[in-house]
Amino acid sequence: MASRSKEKEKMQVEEVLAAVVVADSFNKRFMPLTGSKPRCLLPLANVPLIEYTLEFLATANVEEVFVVCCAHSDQIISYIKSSRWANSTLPKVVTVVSQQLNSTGDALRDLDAKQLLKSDFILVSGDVVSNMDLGKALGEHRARRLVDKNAIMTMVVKTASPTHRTRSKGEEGIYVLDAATHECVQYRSLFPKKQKLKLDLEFFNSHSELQVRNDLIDCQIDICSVDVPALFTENFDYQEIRKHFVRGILESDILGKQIHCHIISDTYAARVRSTQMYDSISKDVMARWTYPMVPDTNIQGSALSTYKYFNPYIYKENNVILSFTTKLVRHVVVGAETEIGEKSVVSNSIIGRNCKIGKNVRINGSYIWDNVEIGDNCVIERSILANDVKVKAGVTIEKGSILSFGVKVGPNFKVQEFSRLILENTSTRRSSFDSNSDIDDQVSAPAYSPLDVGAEGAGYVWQDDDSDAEDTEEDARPILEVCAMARDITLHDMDDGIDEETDDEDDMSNVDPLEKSRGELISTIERAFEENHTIDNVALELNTVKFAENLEFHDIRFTAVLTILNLVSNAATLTTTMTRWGQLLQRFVTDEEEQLDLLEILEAHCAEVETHAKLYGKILQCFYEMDICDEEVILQWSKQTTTSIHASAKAFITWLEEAEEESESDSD
Amino acid sequence: MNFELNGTGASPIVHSKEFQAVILAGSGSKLFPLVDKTCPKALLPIANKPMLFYQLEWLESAHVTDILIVCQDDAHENIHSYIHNVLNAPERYPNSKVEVVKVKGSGSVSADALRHVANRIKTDFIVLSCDTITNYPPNQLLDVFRAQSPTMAALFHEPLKADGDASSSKKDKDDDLIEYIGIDHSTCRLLFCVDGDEVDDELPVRMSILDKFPAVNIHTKLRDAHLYVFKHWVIDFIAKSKIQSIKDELIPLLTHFQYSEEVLKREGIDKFLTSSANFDQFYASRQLSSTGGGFVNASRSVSLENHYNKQSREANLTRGGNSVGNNALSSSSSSRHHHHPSVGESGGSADSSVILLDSGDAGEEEVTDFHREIVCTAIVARGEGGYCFRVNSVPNYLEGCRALVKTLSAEEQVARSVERQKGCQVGDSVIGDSTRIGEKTGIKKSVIGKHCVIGKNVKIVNSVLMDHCVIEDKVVLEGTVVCGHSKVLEMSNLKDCQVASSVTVKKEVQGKNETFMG
Repeated sequence: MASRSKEKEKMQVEEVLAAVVVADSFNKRFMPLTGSKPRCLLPLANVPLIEYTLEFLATANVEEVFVVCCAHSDQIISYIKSSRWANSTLPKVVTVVSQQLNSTGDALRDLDAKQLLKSDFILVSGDVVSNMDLGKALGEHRARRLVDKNAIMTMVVKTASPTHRTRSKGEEGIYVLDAATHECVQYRSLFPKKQKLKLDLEFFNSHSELQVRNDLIDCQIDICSVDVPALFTENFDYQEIRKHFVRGILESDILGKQIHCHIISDTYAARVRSTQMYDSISKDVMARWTYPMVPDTNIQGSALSTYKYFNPYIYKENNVILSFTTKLVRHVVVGAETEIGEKSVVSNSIIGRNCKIGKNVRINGSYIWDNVEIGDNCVIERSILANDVKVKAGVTIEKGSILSFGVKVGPNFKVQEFSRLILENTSTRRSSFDSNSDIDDQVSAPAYSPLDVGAEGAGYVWQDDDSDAEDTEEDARPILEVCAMARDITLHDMDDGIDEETDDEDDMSNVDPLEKSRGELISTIERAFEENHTIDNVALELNTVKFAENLEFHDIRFTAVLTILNLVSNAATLTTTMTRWGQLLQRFVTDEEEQLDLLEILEAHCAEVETHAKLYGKILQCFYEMDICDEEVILQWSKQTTTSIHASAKAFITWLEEAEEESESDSD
Repeated sequence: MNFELNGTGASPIVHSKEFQAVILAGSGSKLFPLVDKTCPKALLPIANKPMLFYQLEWLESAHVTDILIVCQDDAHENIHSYIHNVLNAPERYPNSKVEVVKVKGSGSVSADALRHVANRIKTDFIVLSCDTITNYPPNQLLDVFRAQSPTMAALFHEPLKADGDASSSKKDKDDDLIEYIGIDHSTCRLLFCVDGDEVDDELPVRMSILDKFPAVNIHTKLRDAHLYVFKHWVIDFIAKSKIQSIKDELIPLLTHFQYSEEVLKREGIDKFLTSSANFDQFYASRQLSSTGGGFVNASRSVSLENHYNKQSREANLTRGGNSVGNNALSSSSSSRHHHHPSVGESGGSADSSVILLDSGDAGEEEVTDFHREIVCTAIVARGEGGYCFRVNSVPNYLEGCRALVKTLSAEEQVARSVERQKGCQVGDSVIGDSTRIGEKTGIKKSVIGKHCVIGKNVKIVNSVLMDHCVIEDKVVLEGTVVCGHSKVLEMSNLKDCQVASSVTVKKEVQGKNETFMG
């Protein structure tokens, strides 16, 4: 017995520790940069991102690394071949090329099909930066697996404050964990924002103490059992690991699988998920949070880089040429052979190799890659300038801009904030699904517009063509875009959001219930406008709301008049609007009394809204023509009312009167 | 300046008047038929001592000397006479002032009772229900209050476990509902407390909580012990408000203040906060260091301090790019703060560290300051040898009695004057003075009052007999309470029954889950 269990142990020890590096981001947040280079080869502190990931895995004693590549697979393969990993045996780095991958889910299904994974493995993407001790997480994971085979996955998360810069904006999630075991019982994205998190009371039957955490950074380092790829194969609709897989597993009653979290607090782990994260992580690297992965340890080997550390947080390679009056303020990395001219000030920035930076230049919070030339008197604020970018003298680049490979701007030009410039307007396929065909048509592109890049510039404004088509990150999209690199804006926005939220929930009690239910009606109608519902459907919906909120037909008429007329600004829009939506009013007026009520509402409304006051006569006419109101009723109303508004409709009324007389005389 | 403050702050005279206590002696309707007019809830014996005795002893050990017992009209006389004649409070607690105050009318509303005595409360105060029995070291609780200076501190406990008895634990679930108690992971702040019957399928957690307190532990195994310590201004707030219940309204409101400034403003709490500074010399001295004039804690516990440092460090991280200049400075200052002795025995040095921090992180105040004004702290009574329970139902009463019996030594358990006949066995039980136990009678895990007469071949398990009971031969009692002056005649077999006082249970009665009334 004893020897057998020992054997078993031995077997387990002999299991090869493998890691899967997904070297494709499957999104376009770094476009247009990722148009010509995969994200994992983009430089972070002048070192390709994948170096950080591989180094991290190597220190964790991973024996075999599978790099799954899809878009730009040729570049990744040739990079790895030329790097120090090519001849490395521990870990052995194997590239797996698969075309037609659209998601991490696809990548895992592909691996499952190829049967490459034999034991528990570490799943990371090719842009993870971490100095955490994976051994501990692995140990916990294995211990759990021994007890319960259903503990299939361990997610690594890091504690941080809710507004920490290394939390990817728009992608924060709330984890509900068992306080003792850290089993994850619920995972929910913070977006779309909700006022309340709802916890199923059933959770408490099996967990006496739960922990709700809004302070965790998802490091995107997962320890998976071999079941995970198989589960992906079984559930072919799972795409993303968090949004689909984790949620699917946690919500499934049938599978009975468990996912745990490993919480780290004193070590570093983060993934470059967006430009905002790129910014944060670069700063973390410079501030040495990621030690030993900091520039001066030269992780690529001393042959390839020669960084030295100077106070305060300044890193310089050999042969950097600085003028006596150049100022490197703090948190600055400068690559070899770079020259910076007189009176230039660089702060919180990373500058690549062979760059030429002129005199009196201000660079703050920016990432300038290799071979970039910047002319005199430029100001560059929180932007990314890719390789071979040329910035002529006197250019200002505002925050959040990305200048892709080889773009030229200037001279004396201002690049607007959040611009994205690209040199070639051809379809550079990044991955199959987001190449867009209509770019192909423009191969013989027109000349560069000086409005985009300045008089001597070269480049186009990059446009995200299929922003609607992409559903995967729709919720978070606006946030992601705004926060590209301007952190201050987002933080501010977020704070506002929180305030509003509390306002809302406290206001709720003060709001007049009638107003609230009418609001319900208004939103129903407005939604109908947006989504172009049929009159039948809207009428049905309004009736439902009426019953639900215990309202009267008067309220429907009131809100309908209000919302429909909101679409009207002049006589022309009146006709179009009324032909489309006038029927709706008709649905809710049947007898005389109701018609009178409608007219009363209309008049009161027009008395308040000036533009509609002028149109009052026309509106009445529409009502008459569309049989919403009978002529008798209109005439009766005109006798009842004496307001000045009504007087403006005199022409129509007299016409009506005459018509009536005529018809009467006709019939005679 | 700091030296002067130290002089006044450390004087022991201030200490003695630090807290007042209010014991709320409610009606105890759930304990029917154990309580009646002659025996109000506060005087219900537990291990042969009235409940009130335990609270008075607990407060005495905390050196709380100013005690108000608020009770209903009809219970006043009994409680008063117990305090003065039986317990002889003036002699037993010579330094203390124990006073029994009656509230007219229903008086069951806990906040009303507090309002009634509001003008007599001059300091920070402890409120406890008379059915809370604990040996949680009072100074541990009060020290947290002294150190962190929260608005409110509430004691929580784990419910008593029935001794491996599945049926009784099931009963528990019906009797006291689950409470969902949200406590901040790092600071132990009480964030919400929701009764099980207030929620249906889902427990809603406000996002505004999670924004300010990103790691919340939600406990289901804890119960509110109904023992609170409040800042003095809270009584002013109660006096002016229409709050009915402490548990159902005041506590939720106070916890809500922590994360919703809107509500804070709506209730006009600022007034109370500033006015409290005038009353409270003891804390006023600590506040001088704060820059804003609000209710800022100069000295905090270790856990709070950690939180503070974490916040400021992260604030630095967040602002990394813009305020690099601050980075080195503030990290050094916060680490100094860290090494500092945590509980502010010496106000002066604690002050200086705060000033240092403030000057270092002048810009950070917004980040760290936002939820300092109102702090609700949860204290969880756990651990070996300690007990904390509420006697709010009959099963809890039985379990509470058993729990107390365990804490007593063998000599304390059985009074010397007990007369035992041959072959009787007594285990894990308390037996009062002058009780007689017949031959071959077995008593286990039970409490027997004074002057009881127990016949031969009787079996008593998990039961409570109050004073002057008569149990005739061959009776079997299990999980049963027999109130004072009652008789159970021979051959009866009672399981999970309650016998009211001065009742006679006839011969050979087979009772299960029954109540015997006069």
